[in-house]
Amino acid sequence: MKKLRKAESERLDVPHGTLDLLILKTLETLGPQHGWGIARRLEQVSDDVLALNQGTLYPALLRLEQRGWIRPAWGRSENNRRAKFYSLTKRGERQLEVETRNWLRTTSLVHRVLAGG
Amino acid sequence: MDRLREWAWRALGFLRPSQRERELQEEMQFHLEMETERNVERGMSRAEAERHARMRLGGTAQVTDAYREQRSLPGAEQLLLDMRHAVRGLRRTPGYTAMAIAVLALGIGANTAVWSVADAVLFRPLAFFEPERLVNVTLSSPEGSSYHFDYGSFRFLEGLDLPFSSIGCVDTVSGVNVSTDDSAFYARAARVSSAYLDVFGRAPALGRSFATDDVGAARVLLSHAVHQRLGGSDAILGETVRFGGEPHVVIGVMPDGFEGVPRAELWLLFEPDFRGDGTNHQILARLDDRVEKNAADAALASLSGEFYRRYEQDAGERQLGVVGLRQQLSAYRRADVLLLLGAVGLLLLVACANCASLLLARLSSRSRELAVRAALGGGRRRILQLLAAESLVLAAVGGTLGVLIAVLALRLFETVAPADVLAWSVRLDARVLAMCGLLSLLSGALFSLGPALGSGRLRLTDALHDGSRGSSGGRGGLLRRSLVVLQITVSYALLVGAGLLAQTLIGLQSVDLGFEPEGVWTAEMSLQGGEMNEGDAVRTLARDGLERLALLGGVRAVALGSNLPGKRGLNLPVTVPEREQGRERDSINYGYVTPDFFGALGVRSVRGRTLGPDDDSGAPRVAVVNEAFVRNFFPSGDVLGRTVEPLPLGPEHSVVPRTIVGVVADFKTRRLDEEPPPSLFVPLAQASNETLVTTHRFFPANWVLSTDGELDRGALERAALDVSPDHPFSRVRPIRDLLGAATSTERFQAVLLFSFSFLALAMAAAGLFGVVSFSVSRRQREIGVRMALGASASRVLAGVLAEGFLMGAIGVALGLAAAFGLTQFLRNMIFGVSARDPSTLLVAAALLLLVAILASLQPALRATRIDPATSFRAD
Repeated sequence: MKKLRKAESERLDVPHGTLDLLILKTLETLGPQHGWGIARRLEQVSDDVLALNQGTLYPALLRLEQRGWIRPAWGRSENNRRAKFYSLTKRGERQLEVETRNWLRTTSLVHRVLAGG
Repeated sequence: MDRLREWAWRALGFLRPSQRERELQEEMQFHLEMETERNVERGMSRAEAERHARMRLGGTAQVTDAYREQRSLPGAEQLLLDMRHAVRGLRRTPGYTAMAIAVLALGIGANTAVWSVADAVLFRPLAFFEPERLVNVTLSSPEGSSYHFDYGSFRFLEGLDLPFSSIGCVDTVSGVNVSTDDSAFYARAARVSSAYLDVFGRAPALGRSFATDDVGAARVLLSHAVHQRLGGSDAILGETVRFGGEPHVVIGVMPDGFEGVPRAELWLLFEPDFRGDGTNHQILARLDDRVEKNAADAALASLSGEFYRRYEQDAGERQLGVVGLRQQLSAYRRADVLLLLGAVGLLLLVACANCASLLLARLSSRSRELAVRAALGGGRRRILQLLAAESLVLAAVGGTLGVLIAVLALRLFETVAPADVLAWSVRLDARVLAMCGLLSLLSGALFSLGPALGSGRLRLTDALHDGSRGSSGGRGGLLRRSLVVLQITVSYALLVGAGLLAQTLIGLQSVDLGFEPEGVWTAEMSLQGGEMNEGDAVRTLARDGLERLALLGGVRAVALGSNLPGKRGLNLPVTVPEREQGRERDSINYGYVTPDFFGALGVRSVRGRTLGPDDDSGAPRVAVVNEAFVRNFFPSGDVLGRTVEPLPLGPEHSVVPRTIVGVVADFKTRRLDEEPPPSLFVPLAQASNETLVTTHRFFPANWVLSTDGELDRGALERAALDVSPDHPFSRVRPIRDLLGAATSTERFQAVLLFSFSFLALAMAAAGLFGVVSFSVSRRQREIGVRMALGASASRVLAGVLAEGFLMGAIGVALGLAAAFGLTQFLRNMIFGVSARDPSTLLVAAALLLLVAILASLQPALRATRIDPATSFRAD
């Protein structure tokens, strides 16, 4: 229990506004995936450093769907259970490109500022 | 774009709940199971694995809430819940709820009704193709007077390169007889240029529109209505129908509802050799697609000089321009409608103040509940949300009932509104309903504003300790009093406005008309075109008609004339060589009459004689003038025997001087608040062909029948058929109706303003009653103590009455100031009374103070009956 607490305190919060980008990128890499799969993937990739509140994932998925960037479909999971799979739409792919570019520009700028200081 | 999409989905999600949330439950269930299994694989016990899974997810309820927020419109779901709660709360206090809803429904209903008038008259787009591109070409002076064009001006403008895709010209609409082999009826006809109908961009429903080679070929386009009266068959195309006695071939029928501008029922072309008589023409145009109205206006203004050089006249300050057709058509009603909108807006303000006051009263009786809520962590924002939900429910119900009230109010409008306003087809349509919804929301926001501010001052501890026994002098009490004073102030201003308009109406109706309307009936007859182009045919028809109509039962005198009280006549230039003052050549009101005309109307002869049967074609040319003519040209009164020379119409006719043989009393022409113009009357027997043809082009002939009272219309119409089957009577009515039409605007305004001010007054009275009676019940113990200490019942009574009177007096004082400001807008609408008429201001003040005392009488009496013993115990 104590160990877990400590781990929590070292974790990074998901930077504001980047959850959408992370989800889109995950779906691009993995192909159609259900909510838990996306959560797992994010945690794995970040070596569990990312303090993802898994609950925030679902409203975010809905938002992306409402904006037409991803599309849900019911399917069978690896252990043959009914699950909702999300996949990237064409518009989603374009959006991912745009957001990736923006993110890289922003981070490089922040990097330059920090390095310059 | 994608954001828009998101919000569209959200709106949809709001309307279509639940399905997605059930799916979410399944998704989360799956998520938890997967996470639990993984945790078990990592070596946790089953229970611990499940607990960890839940922790990582963050609570299904929270996720569901967040999901719901995203799925639907923010706050909307909560609002729905709150509204359900509000409905339950409101049902527990039926008296308050009914009162608030009634007040709102009246306010919103009256506003909706007036808005449907305003929308029809001022705002609704005209039913033509791209109506915003339709303009009226104008000629105006810097002072704002505008002038019509003559036909030559149109031909000149038509030849220029102007930023219009089409341009058309139309003459004054006049009545014409439509006759087939077996029937004849009267319809409004417009003479137009060949491109006129193209300007509107509406194709005929049947047949085709005019083409340039139709000019001179006697062709006609019918409205749907006239087509129906002629049988409504498609075979009408190519048929010949007589209009004004002249055969025309029907080439097309316009779609149902199309009437053009100005409204007409059939359209004829100008004759090819038409050079135009008089400046009675309107020029309409459709702007080129790429041209803005301002640019077109500037383009025309720059042509003003060239336009005037054509006449070899000084351009003066008059300028050409364009104005939107919509704007042009409603211009003369704009002020009237804005007045009503303003008045009804004030009524809504009173209704909102009243509702706010009710809401405050309810709030203070709920202060303990609200304090508990606040204590339990329902923050101020939450309380405001509850208030908003309640207001929304009240506004929604009030608005819905308001629509019903508006429907009833529109029925009333139909009986009192001026005909030209109703001609805009005033109705409750989707546009008006949307406005009604908006007004409801707005009033909901407005009346919950006061209480919302008040609730901010709600001190928790006070409310909990003090319970329902708060003192009446607190800030909430002050707010309520202010709201009552506001209601009285606005009611007073409305009442003063209504009083001024009512006095205007009474003043107009008691104006010396200059004739005796009792028992006088009139009927119109078009004598335009065909055989009636010969003066002798007119005279024969007149002689037959006078003989035949005199035989009708109850008829005392019959006459025919071109001018009638309440209507304008032909504007004709005359020369008055021996004048004492005025211009040598001036336009006057010109008309012909048969011998009994002045007798039948009861117009007094002031000097000299009237016209008689001896003034026939063989006798010397004579004329009778009115008093206005004498004032204008011969202020000394020495007018008998003087000569007057009407402008000869038609090129080869020489001037015919006429001797003035008599003066008749002025009788009102167009408007009752206008002095009649200088007028000249000539005997029909001596009228030239040209003046008769010109007169009948613009005006129908009017039969005047002086009767014992009622008139048998059936007998009159049969008599008309005997006189001439091709010239039917139309608009048979008592002359009172004509005068009624002349005062219909004032009557409409007075009726509406009185209705509004009485509603406002009733609301103010109810508001005052509420506040005073509330304060009496709050002060029950205090009053009890005073009475126990020996205060007499009359002192208690006076004390309470004084409270009501004081509010009334402050309201009236503020209202006086408001009325001084607001009645300025009435300046141009009132007649025979000053905008600051002291008696109106006083009577309204007295009425309001009386109402204030009456409204506090019941609570005052109740106060005197307070039994000190019970008031101490009651807690």
